[in-house]
Amino acid sequence: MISNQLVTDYIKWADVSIFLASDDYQKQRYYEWKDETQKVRVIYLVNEVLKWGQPYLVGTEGYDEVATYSYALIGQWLLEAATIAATGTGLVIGTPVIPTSTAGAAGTITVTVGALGSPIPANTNQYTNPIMSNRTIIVIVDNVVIQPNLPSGFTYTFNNATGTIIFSLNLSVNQVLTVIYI
Amino acid sequence: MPFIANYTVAQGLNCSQLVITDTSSYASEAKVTFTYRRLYLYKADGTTIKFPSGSVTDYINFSFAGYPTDQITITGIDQDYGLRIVMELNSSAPQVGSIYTKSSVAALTCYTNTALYNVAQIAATSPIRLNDPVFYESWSQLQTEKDAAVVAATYGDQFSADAALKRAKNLINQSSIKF
Repeated sequence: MISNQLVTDYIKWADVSIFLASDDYQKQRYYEWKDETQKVRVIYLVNEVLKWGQPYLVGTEGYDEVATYSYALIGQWLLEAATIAATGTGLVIGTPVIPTSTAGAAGTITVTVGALGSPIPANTNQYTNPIMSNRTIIVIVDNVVIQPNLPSGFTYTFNNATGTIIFSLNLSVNQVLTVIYI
Repeated sequence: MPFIANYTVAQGLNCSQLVITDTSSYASEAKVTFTYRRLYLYKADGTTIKFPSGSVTDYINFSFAGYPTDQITITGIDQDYGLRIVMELNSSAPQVGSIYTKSSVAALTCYTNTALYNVAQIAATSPIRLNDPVFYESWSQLQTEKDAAVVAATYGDQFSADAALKRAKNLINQSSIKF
């Protein structure tokens, strides 16, 4: 059985491999008059299926077959892709966007800290909303975009699995948190 | 702070179901101030999806009493659609600056995604099928239609999204000869 973490790695590596393969096959087409660029499209097609199925199908026999097939398709670029994906720079920064739902349109959430019924009590630093899980988010506090994972200053970390934002500082009453998720 | 209506749309592995969650913040206006909450699911042809199935109204009654968790699971989705989803709230004490109606376009792609998954499984177990131009072109076309639908919905173009999904459905209907 292929683990969820390994599937995430496969997806990242395939995302990078698409660019590497495009480059190689274009050179091949130009210098050797041999056109295998269709294979790039196949990597994309299989990888999109992996992304869609990850929240639901990891561990099933059929999904494992597709994951293994993806791994085989990118084998030629695997080492380079894994290196690039691991550095966090270059072609891939952070983790790929893995939508929980194909119908998941982008949306916004606005919360006033400490207001009646607010999910964020005053002088706390955490907000969880499952809607944000497996999404890419943009965090805005009082109309200022906050950068994630900074070494110092007002920043935040985001747990993609649970949809939890943890700020480096407590939020004060009446501060307005807006989250755009895509 | 004004009230702003908002919701999210999600589909899981069960393509016949659609989950809509009201994500509006009721901090500025409590739920008791609203007399109703309704959903309209407009198809591209202007008709609406009825829920429950025997309903005679165009709207779905997404009442606060009936759905205290602010989430409704709509069943009976028979195919992929480009839907314009409208959530309408009626306030008994409306405030200036508040927005009580939210409308957006969503591309329901579960059936197409399931078909794409099935095709990928065929390719995974029998890679030689990729040498068949009909197989490859059809697979690529199916993905293109899905991508087009998602992008069109992102830009609020319901009709293009729905048209792409209908083309995808035509391909799926020909699965036995395409794949």
